[in-house]
Amino acid sequence: MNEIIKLNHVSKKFNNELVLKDINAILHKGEILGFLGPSGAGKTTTIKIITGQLHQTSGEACIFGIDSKNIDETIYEQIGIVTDMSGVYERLTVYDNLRYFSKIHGVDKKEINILLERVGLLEHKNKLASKLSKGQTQRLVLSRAILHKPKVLFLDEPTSGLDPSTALKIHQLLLELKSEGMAIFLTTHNMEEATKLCDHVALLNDGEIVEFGTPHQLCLKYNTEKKYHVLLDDKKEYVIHQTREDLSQLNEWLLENRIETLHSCEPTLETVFLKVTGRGLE
Amino acid sequence: MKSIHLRKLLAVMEVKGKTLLDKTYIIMPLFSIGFALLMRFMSSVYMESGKMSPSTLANCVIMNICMCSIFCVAGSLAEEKEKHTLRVLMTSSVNGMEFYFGSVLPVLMESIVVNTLLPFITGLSMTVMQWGCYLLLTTLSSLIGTIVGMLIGIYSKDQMNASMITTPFMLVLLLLPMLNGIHPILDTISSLTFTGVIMDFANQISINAHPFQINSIIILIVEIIIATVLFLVLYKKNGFEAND
Repeated sequence: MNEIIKLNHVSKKFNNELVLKDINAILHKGEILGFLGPSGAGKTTTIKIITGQLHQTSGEACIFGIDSKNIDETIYEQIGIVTDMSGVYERLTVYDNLRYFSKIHGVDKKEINILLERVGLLEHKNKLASKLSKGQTQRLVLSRAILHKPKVLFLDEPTSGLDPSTALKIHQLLLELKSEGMAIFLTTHNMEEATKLCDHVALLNDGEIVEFGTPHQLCLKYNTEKKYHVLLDDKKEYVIHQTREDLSQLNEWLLENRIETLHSCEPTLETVFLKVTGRGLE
Repeated sequence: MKSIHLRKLLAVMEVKGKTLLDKTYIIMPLFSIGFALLMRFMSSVYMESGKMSPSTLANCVIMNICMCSIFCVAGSLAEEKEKHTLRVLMTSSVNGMEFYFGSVLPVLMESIVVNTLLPFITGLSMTVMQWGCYLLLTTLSSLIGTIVGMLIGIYSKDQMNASMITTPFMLVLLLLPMLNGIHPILDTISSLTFTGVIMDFANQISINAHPFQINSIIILIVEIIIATVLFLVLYKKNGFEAND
């Protein structure tokens, strides 16, 4: 079955306040779907609904074709979850933390060292989990979530607050997992991360999907004011607009071989989000 | 009814067993053992007979049940909530039954072992019949203690909160059998609690009366049923996280 997650007109109310409004989305096998939006947009609530930790007020949320309201341990055996609320057993070592979950999932112990090597924690395997840095803890949580090779991985702001080097390692690992066929449901407010990783993104604002598509599609859709950034050989920079005058100037520079660099200035996901919602992401 | 997978149950039991070895929890059974040793030493020095009374053994057992069964179970559940590992377990295919039995069984075993050691430590000799009754009553009481511990754990937000609820609760349970002579109402209340039942058992031994009293067993079974029903009602509401 290719369709891993399907959200069909999902809404959620907390004390009469509508926090999710008519959410529709599909995640297929081997895809990364990003839910992007600022804090409080409803990203974590969506994950909680899909994983059966919360029940939606209306609509249907299915995982592996089963209504998430009826989720049980047979479904949990096929999913991995990483959120900022995913704790580790601080009194146990890194290795013992994974050993505990390998027993729960019935995974061969040999897999633990392979996984620790993959996430760069092998040299810290005998360290107490309480002694790990934030980045190392996040990698431990991630390795625990993928220990049993789940069919779908839920990541709630996986690189939030991490240094760029650790974030990069996590990005590489996620792309590897995706290429192995794992479906990944990612929430983030980091648009750069979403552009790099996601096959499809849903821009979420005040509990509502305001745009849905591939990052490339969305950027092109809002590329209404076409312009180009030019760096000349005298190190002067110019922004060329799609006007007859500007284009003839560009043509002139090209003929004179004066252009060092030339870039189209289509909007980033961040500017698309700002355009659609009129608000920032933090 | 959820099924229990032995593999997951044993995994939870192993980690919970390790938790009991942590300094926060290992000290709990040592309190009652230390208290028993101290009382034995004091009896040998200050008592003419040099022997301890059965009521002292009862106090040690009550202390053990409160410290081990109630405090350790409540504290360890509250710790799982505080450190956000409980939610991880529940979304890692461990069901409520597996977590419940995995959490309770190591503590129950520890409590039973200490209860069994206490008569030897205090030097109190009992007949086979008395031993049988003693083990039955203390095991049932320890079971009640663990369920009460789970109830407190469900209500507690964190370890500090759990200890704030547990301490006065334990004090009442510990003091009731000691103060039951003050007023008949206190005596009645005490006789309806598992701590009172254990003290009554000790009193029966001290006057060489028959130790097996059907009333005591009925009281303990009713308490187990009430505690289990309360637990199930709370658990049904929001799993192990009633305060979320």
